[in-house]
Amino acid sequence: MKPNILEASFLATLERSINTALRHDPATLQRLSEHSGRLLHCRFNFPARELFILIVEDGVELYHSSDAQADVSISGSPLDMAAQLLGWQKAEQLIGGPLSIKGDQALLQELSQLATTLDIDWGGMLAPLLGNEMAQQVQHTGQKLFQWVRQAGERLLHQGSDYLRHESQLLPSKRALQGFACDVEELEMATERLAARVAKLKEQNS
Amino acid sequence: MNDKRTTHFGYKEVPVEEKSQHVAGVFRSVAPKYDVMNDLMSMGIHRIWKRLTIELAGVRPGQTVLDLAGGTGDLAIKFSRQVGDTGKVVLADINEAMLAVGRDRLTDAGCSHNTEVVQVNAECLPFADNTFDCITIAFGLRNVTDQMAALRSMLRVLKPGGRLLILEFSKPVHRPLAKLYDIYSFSVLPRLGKVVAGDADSYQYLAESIRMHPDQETLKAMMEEAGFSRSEYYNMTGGIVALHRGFKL
Repeated sequence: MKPNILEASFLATLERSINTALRHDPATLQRLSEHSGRLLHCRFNFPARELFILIVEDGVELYHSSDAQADVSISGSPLDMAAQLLGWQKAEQLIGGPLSIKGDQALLQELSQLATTLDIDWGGMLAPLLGNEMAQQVQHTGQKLFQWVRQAGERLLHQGSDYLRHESQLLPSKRALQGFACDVEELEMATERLAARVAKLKEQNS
Repeated sequence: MNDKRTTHFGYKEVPVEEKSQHVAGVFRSVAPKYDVMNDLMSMGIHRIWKRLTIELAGVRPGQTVLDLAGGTGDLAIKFSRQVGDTGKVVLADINEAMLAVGRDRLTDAGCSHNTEVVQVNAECLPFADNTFDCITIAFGLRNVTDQMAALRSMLRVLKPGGRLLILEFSKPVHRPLAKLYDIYSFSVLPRLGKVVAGDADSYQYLAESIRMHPDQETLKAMMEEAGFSRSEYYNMTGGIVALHRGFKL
């Protein structure tokens, strides 16, 4: 691996942001620290990158590489992983890409639960800068805005999913996809059987 | 005739046996503000250099790591978390003032259960042969009086298959960057040291000691001469800093 300053800077910034957010939700941080020492391995399809998340007492540490055995490994697209971790139920209809998970699934479930219940005290974070009253106002407005953006995003994904699958039929439905996967599996098995019979016949002839 | 052997302390020539005292004086003076000054001087980039060092170290749970010239414990804290309860990290430094800061930081970070803090001279490490899986020395080698002795000592205490990582200031590979870096080192740095740490001389020494330190290729050759295999280096930030890695095979 050749060191890459830009990627390392990005990871450092991401790590700092996550840990700052966690420091402002002590309950979640406490629950997360119970898993201290455990390692998650995320393998992204696109862009082809790896990310190792080490849970530590005071948050998380992020690395591009690790020689340690991960407790749980997830492979897939970053969007699918975010959907899994943050519980974007409706997004699944559109994204719905395959996520491969190996290892301790219970840990992943627990972390997903922690991520969805993360309740950052934005007011407390902004109070030293803006004063208590203004910080509370900003927090209230921010929460409403965030809720609206989330709902709008989910609606957009839902409607987009409907349009792409049913109206324009640009994307196959989940059922059609499953049927196709079954057909491929069947064809693969038939090909293997045929190859085995050809090999057996060749053996008999020789 | 004066037949005393001398070495460099920045641009000055001092008797060999006195260099460690001069260096100790510098670090005693800067220890309380060491982390703040590092952030200011490097604009925070030293954290990225150290992060890359940790990634290239490839430390696993259960391993034993020596963080030499570990000072305030930046690397040791990260390693402590990576090696887990079954591993061990030794934070070592020649300077007691730096170690005191490091010990407190390790305790504050909840890392005291698998770390040890030891005052050592890198030239004659007080550990048994084949003890460590990984040794790191970040921004410390240039302060060592006999660098070859230190490299040989590190090789001795490394386990076969173990690796040494040296993170150190080096020689910028682009001429315009080198000029800018010179101006920064000799004009800005000592002033910054005076304002923040109240000590311009120590930061003047820092700039001078960097210029006196072997460049990338020379240090690589020294590692090979000491017995390290598969030695290589990575330039960072245009060669202002280089990370050397070698293995004991």
